Amino acid sequence: MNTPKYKEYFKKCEEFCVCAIKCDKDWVGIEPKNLNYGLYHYCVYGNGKFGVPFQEDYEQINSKDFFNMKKYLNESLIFEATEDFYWIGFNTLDKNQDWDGKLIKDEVLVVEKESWIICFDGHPIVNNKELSRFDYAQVYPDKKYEIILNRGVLGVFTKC
Amino acid sequence: MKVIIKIEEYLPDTNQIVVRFARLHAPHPIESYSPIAINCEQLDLHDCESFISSLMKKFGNEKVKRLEESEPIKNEAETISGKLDLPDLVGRVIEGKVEDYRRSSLNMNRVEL
Repeated sequence: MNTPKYKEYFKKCEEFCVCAIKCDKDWVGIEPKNLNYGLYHYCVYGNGKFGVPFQEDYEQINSKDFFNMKKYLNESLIFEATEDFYWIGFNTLDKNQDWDGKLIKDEVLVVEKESWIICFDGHPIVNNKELSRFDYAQVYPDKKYEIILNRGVLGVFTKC
Repeated sequence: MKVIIKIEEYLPDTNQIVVRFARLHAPHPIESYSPIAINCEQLDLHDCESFISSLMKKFGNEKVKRLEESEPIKNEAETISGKLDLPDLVGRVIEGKVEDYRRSSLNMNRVEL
């Protein structure tokens, strides 16, 4: 019998943190609430579920899903991978600091406040610059950003 | 990777063991790898499983890693990075890693747009 393995990745950037978990099918993990700073999660591949321990409800995670995790910010969470699984989290540095986040769907991005974009997957092109997974950039309100998603996935995050 | 362990001596007066480590698939018999003396007070002696686990965690993993790195390289390999071009990789020998599945740093890359 092989024990399902997992690997966690973590990086503090200027105003936020990005984390990632890669794990084998059947892995189960806990994130205690004092370490839970996740506001948004994106599932690169795999399936799984998560929920608050000892509660009946849980959420199903499917490949390419983008989750708003804010309602779980002050909860511990339990995760189970029903397939090999890879997901990426956008985390606030301070639980009192809220952020708005979404995946970019449009061909043009205009932001109202300084924001950050993060490439979660593929090779999207922004203003003729090709990005790769975990490339990130600050974007500014006085500038227009032309986006070719190129089957990639980009998130944009703005401090509230 | 499987590791083999041979306890050559138990020294009750000093509560030490003299141990050799090798990979199961090592190119030489375990007797050809140098032994080390280990103080048993550093180990978890609760039962066989905890003994082996603590022996490996505190001494074996590092010892075997160093042994492996000192063995002659019979294959030349290259490291690749960046955009994937599968057809371009055909016929080339490239490096991979046996991951230890612990926390590590994410390679975030800031770009200017």
